[in-house]
Formats: sequence, structure tokens, C-alpha cells
Amino acid sequence: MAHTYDFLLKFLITGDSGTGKSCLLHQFVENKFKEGATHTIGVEFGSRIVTIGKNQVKLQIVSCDSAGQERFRSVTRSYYRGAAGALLVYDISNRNSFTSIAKWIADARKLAGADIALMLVGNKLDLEDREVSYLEASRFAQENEMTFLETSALTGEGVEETFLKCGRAILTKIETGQVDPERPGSGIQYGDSSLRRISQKSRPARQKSLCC
Amino acid sequence: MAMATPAPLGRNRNNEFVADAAGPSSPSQHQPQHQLPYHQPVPARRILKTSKSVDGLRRARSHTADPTSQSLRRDFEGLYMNSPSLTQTQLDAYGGNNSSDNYNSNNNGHYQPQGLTPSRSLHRNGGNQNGNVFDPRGESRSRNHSQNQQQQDQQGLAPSQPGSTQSPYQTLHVQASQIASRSTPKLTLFTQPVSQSHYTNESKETRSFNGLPGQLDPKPKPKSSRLKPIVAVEKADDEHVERDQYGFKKESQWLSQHDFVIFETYYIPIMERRRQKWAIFMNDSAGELPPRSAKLKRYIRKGIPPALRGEAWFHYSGAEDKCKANPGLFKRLVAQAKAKGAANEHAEVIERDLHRTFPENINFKSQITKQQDGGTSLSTENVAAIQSLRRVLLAFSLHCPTIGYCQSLNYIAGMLLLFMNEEQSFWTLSVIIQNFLPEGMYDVTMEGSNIDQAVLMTLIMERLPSIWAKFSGGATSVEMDEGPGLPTVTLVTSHWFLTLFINILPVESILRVWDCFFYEGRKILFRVALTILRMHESEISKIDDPLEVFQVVQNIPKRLIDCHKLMEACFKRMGSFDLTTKDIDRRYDTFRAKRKSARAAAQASRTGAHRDPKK
Repeated sequence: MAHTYDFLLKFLITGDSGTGKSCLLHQFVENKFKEGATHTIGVEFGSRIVTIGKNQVKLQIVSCDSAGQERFRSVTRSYYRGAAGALLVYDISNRNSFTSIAKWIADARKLAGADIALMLVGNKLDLEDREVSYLEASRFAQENEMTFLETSALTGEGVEETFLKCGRAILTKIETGQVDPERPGSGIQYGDSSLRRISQKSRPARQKSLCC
Repeated sequence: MAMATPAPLGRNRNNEFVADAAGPSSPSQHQPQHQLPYHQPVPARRILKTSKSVDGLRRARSHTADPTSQSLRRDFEGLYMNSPSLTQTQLDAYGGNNSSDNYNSNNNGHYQPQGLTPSRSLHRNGGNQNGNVFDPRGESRSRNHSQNQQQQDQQGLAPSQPGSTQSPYQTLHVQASQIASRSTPKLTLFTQPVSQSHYTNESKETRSFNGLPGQLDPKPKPKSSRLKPIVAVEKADDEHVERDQYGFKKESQWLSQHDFVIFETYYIPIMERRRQKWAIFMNDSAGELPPRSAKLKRYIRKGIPPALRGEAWFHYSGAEDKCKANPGLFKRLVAQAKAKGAANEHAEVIERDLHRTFPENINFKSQITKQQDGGTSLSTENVAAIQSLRRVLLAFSLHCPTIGYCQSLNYIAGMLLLFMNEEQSFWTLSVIIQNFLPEGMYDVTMEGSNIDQAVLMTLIMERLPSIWAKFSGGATSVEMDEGPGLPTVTLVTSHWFLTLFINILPVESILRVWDCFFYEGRKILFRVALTILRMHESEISKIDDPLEVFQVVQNIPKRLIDCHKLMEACFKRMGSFDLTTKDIDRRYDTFRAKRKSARAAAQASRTGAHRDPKK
């Protein structure tokens, strides 16, 4: 189990109930579609090591499902703290799940900090009866400073790319010094002390804790 | 209705329980099969067992039917349609219109090692002459037939289909052979270990969700058109899915077919032994469920036979008393819910979860419906189990407005419905939530659930320090409010308690846990949770990455197919012997009091801060 990695990034997957969050996680971690998915109660953990640029990055992903019930949100809320990135998932064939994305953005920014790297993910690309157009969603993503991608957890289309893109965005934030990996709750950990030195050099002096 | 008890199996009415597999001849018919290593040729019965999955449910449920549940039971008929069983009319003709008789008569022709025939049914039916003995060559068919005829004659029941010359028994046999032929390719899985290609083809095919299974299989799929009349709704891609007797898929991400075969070869004889022991035990208490005793507790810990489960859960949980004390309430609540319709604020959430409750179980699975434009769509509209689930959950949301509906109740109710009728499920659900689990477990704050987790963490801290070291991140006490709050792992373990281990443990293990839970109460959940962790202590201690721990804790229970080992570890080897309900309640109350005062303090400081600017 002792794989080496340079960075460990904590990710969050969230969004309305039934948008396929667990399936996305499963597809990414196992490369398989999760059949007969039951709804998640609480959270689901998964992780995978990927290569981003020259770095081996371990993505530690949590699919949080408050499953549309407010009472579960208190359970999952604690995990928001300390996430480096979040995938906000909606179902392209379900308009309501798209409209509530605004609420999820607010939640993520409030609970995890303004620095969190957000991704808008339109899932269920394999379905034909689309209710949210690509253009509309990408415009919305731009307005809210998010990266946008459409995926299909069923076929796997776009899934890998989504996670890699989000990972890359966080690494860029580290390089530019926008995010301080050593701040507790940043959702980033070094996997290797030698790397810490290198990145510390490239990082400007740390007075960047803007968020706190 | 005294029967001419047939000589071949040597039964008599006063010796009811010998009537089954416990008899002198039956064991010889059962035992060799049990002892077969999985790779040896398996007799046809074996396959029948798996194909017959739903039937176990039918028997379990139908024999507990009370007069008021007749209509409820009818609602459930749809549940059975996937089993290669008889139509209702055939069944009625078959052993009388008493559902208990269905219970017995349906035994015939199917190998059901787990099945138990309660003596009360036997009393009515005058003995189960046919036993569980499957007769692949059909030698006993005529005998069975004539017995059946006799039975019908003596009960003065005309066959339901006067014109039909085929007896229900024959129907069963015909169906059984059809199933056998359908399952033949599966048989090769076990009989020809040499031919690995078969296995891989098979498993690939089972696993691929949208691949092209046909291309992987060198042989054409054995699609028997004769099967169509039996399977009322055609289920796509189901031919190669092995299901357990409750209708769940056996294979999962965590457990392979192979794991099941290994487990079953060793567990089936155990279950059979338990079944016989229970039969004798029940005989001592005149066929009724025995009163509470140390012996009963021991028996329950070793597992209630599946056919008795529904009845036993209902009885020992206290749901039966509650049901009797409130006659007709369930029906009234259902009517109220219907009248209220969408005005019930929980209706929408319930609706959304219905199709996500055991979507893999054959009883809850969406059906393919033909649309007007000729296309097909998957819908849950006509699935009987889902309709029952809707009624139970809606009724409960009105019965207990402080909770209304909370996710995970759907799973509990769904599981109960696999073993009992709607009304019984409703009352058992109520008893679980209102009597067994602490207050506030499922309400809007989920306070009860959080406190329970705090209690669990304290127990882990005290009894499994090496695991606590991995969970705690260095904390030396469990604090709900100050500092980091509860350890993150509680996000995983709270699910264990909320669904009573559904979706956590494999099905058979859940049932064994529930057996004890209904008899001994909430402490069982803690005991099981601690046992699961203890069983994997070395695995957990090895992990260095604190985040990895959660993933491991999340996944370990899913592989615990060996329910026998789990329960043995729970009650014998664990250090949690002294875990009493009293102890848990005491800890619970301490946390609750702390929490209350913390909240009060927070409230006071907030109002204080509020006042200050005014001054």
C-alpha cells in the first residue's frame, strides 16, 4: 500500500442527490461503472495516484452526499473543511440539479475557504434527453470562475480528464503561491520531504493566508 | 384434516418436525450434497436452490399472514411473479386457501436447506409429506401427485382449473426442469474447473455492464422460450446473475462468485443443523415461538432460520404487541397518506428514494415497460415491493412526524418487507426507531446518531487503543463540540448504525446481526461494530496515512461474507462481553448532557454578545 507520491490532494465531490457522484468516484478509482447504485449515506472515500506533470499526485476523494436532506448536511459538513478542490456535479438531464449548483458553490466557498478549486461537472453525458445545454453551463462556469467539463460516469468519458484538470489547477495554485500547502486544512499534503524543499524554494515568502 | 401419512418418509402427525429433512431418509439425500467441494459435479438441486431465491421469501411471508393481511398479501403477489412458482389460484387449489398451506406445499421440488417448516403449518396441513426432497428424475412425481390429489379431495377443494389435467406439482416439476436447463451453463462454472475459459467468459459477461457479452461467449445463450410464461416481466441481462434466496445479487465488487461457493459449502450444513435444532426447539413450545430464555438467546445468536425470520423479528422486537395494541392504525395511516398526497412534505423525498432502494434486488428492480410509441423504459411504477415500500414509509412519516422521513429508513423498511407483510414491516420499523434506537437518531438534527458515534468512539478508545490511535489523530478523549469534533471516521461508521449495517455488510451477515438486534437490542450494533474493527485490527494498524484508514474502514465490512465467523467472534472471542445496554445508555446520557450544557453556554454567549452592542 505504500505507494510514493509527491502531493496528496483532498477532493470533494458534491452536488444534488442522484447526479452520479458515487459513480464518478467509482469510475475514476476503479475504472468501472458502479452498477445498481444505491444512494450514498454520508460519505464515500476513494483514492488514486495519478501523474500530473512531473508529479505523482495522490488524489484522496470523498463523495459527500447530503442526499438532498438537510439533516445529513451537518454530517458531511465537517469534511468540507480541508478540501483542496471540489467537483460540483449536476445531471445534464435534470435542470433542477443545475439550478442548485449555485447553492453548492456558496456552501463550498463558505465551508472550505475561497481558495478551493471548483470544477463544474455535467454528468450523464450518455443520456439523450439533455435539459442543460453545454453553452449555458460553460457560461455559468465562467461567471463563477470554475472550470467546466461534461462527463459520463457510465462510459467513463471525461472522467479522468476532470480529476486531472482539477488536480492540475491546484498544483498551479501551489506553484503561484495562491495556496499555501502548509496551512492546516488546505487539503494538501506533501508526500515526500525532499519535495517540500524544492517547492518551498519556488514559493514566495508565506504571507498568503488571505483566506483566514 | 388428518392425512394418510405416507409410509416412505415415515412421518406421523405427532412427530411433525421429523417430517422434514430431519427424517431418517432425507438427511442421506441432503448431506452428501453439502459435503461436496465446490468443484465437483453438483446435483441439479443445487442449482434449483439458487434459482428459487424468491420462494424463500414467499414462504417466510405467507405463513405469517393474519386475516387482516390478506389484502396486503395480495398487494405483494407481484413479488412472487419472478419466482417460478404457481399462480395464486393454483396455490389455493393446491393446499387450501390458507396461506400457511401455501407455505408448505410450495416446498415441493425445491431444495431449500435453509427452509424451516414451522409446526403450526404442519398441524394444519397434516404433515409435509413431500418434504424438501427434490426428485430430479421425477420418480416421486406420481406419488406426490396422488398425495396432492388426496389432500385436495379431503379438503373438499376443487382444482382451480377444472379443465386442466396438470397438477400444480407437475407444474412445479416442469418449471424446475426448465430452470435447471436454464442454469446449466452456470453449472459448468463449478463442475469444470479445468476449463478456465468458461469461468472468465462467464465472469466477464456478468461484470460488463454495457459490453458485448454475446461476443465473449463461444456458446449461444440458452434462452428458453418456454420460460417466458413463468417470468412475468422479462428482466434484461438477468440470465447469468446468481442471486441469493432473498433476491440479492450474490456477486459484488467485493465478493466473487467463488467466495460465495466457498462460503455456502460450509454454511449450508450449519444452517441445516440450526434449522433442525430450531424445529425441535419449536416442538417443545407447541410450535409457537418460544418464550424468552437463555437457550433462546443462544439459539438466536446462532441464527434464526430464514423461513422463521420475519415472524421472529416481529414477535421478539415487540412489534407484534404494538400492532395488536393499535389495530387498524396502519390502514388508517395509509389512507391518510393517500388523501394527503403531495401535501405530505416528505412524499417527494420518499418518492425519490424508492427506486434507489435495493435496485439490484429482484423484488425492487425496475421493470421494463413498453411505452405507447413502441419504445421501452425502465420504471418502478408496477413493482409491488416498491409500492409497499411507499405505503410503509408514507404511513411512518405520518405516524412519527418528528422524523418524517430520513434516508436509510427506506433500506430498513425495504429489508423488512422482504420478510414480512406491509403492516408487520410498518410496526417493526416503528419499534426499531421509537424503542430500539435512541431518540433523535433520525430527526432533523441527527443528534442521536452523533451521540451514538461519540459513544462508539469512546468504546474504541478504551478497548481498541491501537485502532483509536489511527482514528483519533492524537486526541486522547472524545469531544463532540470542542476542537476538531468527532473523528472523521465517524462519517463512515455513522452509516453502519443508521442503516443497521445495510449496504455495509453482506446480506446474510446483516440478517444474523438483525436476529440478535431484535432480541437483545441496540448494544448489538456496538458489539458488531467493535468486532468488525477488532477482526481487522492488524490491517488497520498497518496503515500510516490517516486518510487511507477511512477508506479501509469503509471497505472491510463489505467482504465479511462469513457471517458465522463474524457472529462467533462477536459473542465468543471479543473483549466486549461486558457491553451492556445499561453501560451504553449511561455513556449516551453523559454525552447528551454535555452537549446540552455546551449548547446552552453557546446560546448564552450569543445572546450576551448580542446585548453588548446595545449597551
